[in-house]
Amino acid sequence: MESRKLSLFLAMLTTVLLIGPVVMALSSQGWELESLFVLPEEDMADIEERMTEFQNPGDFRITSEDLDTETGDFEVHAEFDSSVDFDILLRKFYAEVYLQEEAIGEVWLEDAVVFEAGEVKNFKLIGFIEDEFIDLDEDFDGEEDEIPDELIEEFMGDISGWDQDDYIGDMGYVQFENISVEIEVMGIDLLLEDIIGVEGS
Amino acid sequence: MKKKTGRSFVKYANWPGVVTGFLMVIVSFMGSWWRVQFGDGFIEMAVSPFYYEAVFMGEEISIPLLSYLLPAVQALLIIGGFFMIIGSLFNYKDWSEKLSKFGFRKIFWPLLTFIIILLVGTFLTNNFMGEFLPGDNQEIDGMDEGLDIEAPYVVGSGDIDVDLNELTASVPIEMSLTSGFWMALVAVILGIFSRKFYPDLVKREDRSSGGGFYDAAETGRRDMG
Repeated sequence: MESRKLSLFLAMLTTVLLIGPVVMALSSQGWELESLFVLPEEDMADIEERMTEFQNPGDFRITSEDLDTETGDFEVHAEFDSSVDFDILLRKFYAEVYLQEEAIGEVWLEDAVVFEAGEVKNFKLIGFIEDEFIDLDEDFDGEEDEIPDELIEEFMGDISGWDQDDYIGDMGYVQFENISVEIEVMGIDLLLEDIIGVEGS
Repeated sequence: MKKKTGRSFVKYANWPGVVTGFLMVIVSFMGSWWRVQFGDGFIEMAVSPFYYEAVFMGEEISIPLLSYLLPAVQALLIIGGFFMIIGSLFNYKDWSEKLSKFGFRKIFWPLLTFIIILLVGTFLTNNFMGEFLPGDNQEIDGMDEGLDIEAPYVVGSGDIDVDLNELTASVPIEMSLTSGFWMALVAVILGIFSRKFYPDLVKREDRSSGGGFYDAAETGRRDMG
């Protein structure tokens, strides 16, 4: 008899400790069974926010470009304003420099750079502009809006559709296309290839 | 049944069972048994039958049912540990076997179930996940997509490689068993020893010394039903 009571007590103890919390959980969720297994709305909102941050970790901006018209060496100074609370390691960056629809050069990242969480970081891309596209700048020392049409026509060669503003010296209308970026975020290696379209400064 | 003196109490207590009970109580406060990490803090999960922690990019994720259920499982493990200790200490009492059996089950079954779930889970992930998710050269909405999972079995490191059109991602996975798991395993092994082998050892010693305590205790238990 004593033994049965003990067995019953032990069985009841297990049952109460396992069923009780389920009932309490159900009660806290308005007796909706499904909601027991689903993340609370505030958690879902936090996750969505974090995912958005992960996809848009900050603002990338090109601050200036330098073209050495003697050698064709091309430097792009850029800044990244991190809006996330994790570091981002930019391992590689490569882009083709486009003017209108013409590829005129290439730029890449010289050394890997770490964008620290929440910080603004300046970094430099190096590269070149093809000789044929820097002649214009060599031959013209005036202001942008003073470029004579004849000069533009002379050096634009067979590139059609350019207008007076599309000259190389200022790089005002260059774009970076076919961009490849290799980054490491939270231990995850990400390789983004052939991204289209980042405008110059 | 014999009345136990202090000396015989020490002699007849099931000491491996007592240690098992203590280990169970300690294990219940040691948190997770198994950890998995994707990336470096991208997704972290730490689980045991009475504990879970899931963190996505630093945000803790809570599942309502588990928040209520797991503390109760933890309480059961603690209670089981204490019952194991009491049952093993008062080994000569009629109720001792029921109590220590109850206690031992509270660590044995969770551990066994946990190991099975881990093994089956990693097996399914490694072998069949690709069937449910887009695999190599499969197309979704005209995009070539690929998913290659090389997850380790329970412990170790591997990678998940995702290949979308413009994005290739390699997510390292790290899995490890914690000290809590190993302590639980020791508790179970010691518990099996305390229930299956230790009584025979002591019984043999008891008979050879002419004590007959264990025989009397067993007869008592049988009579109790």
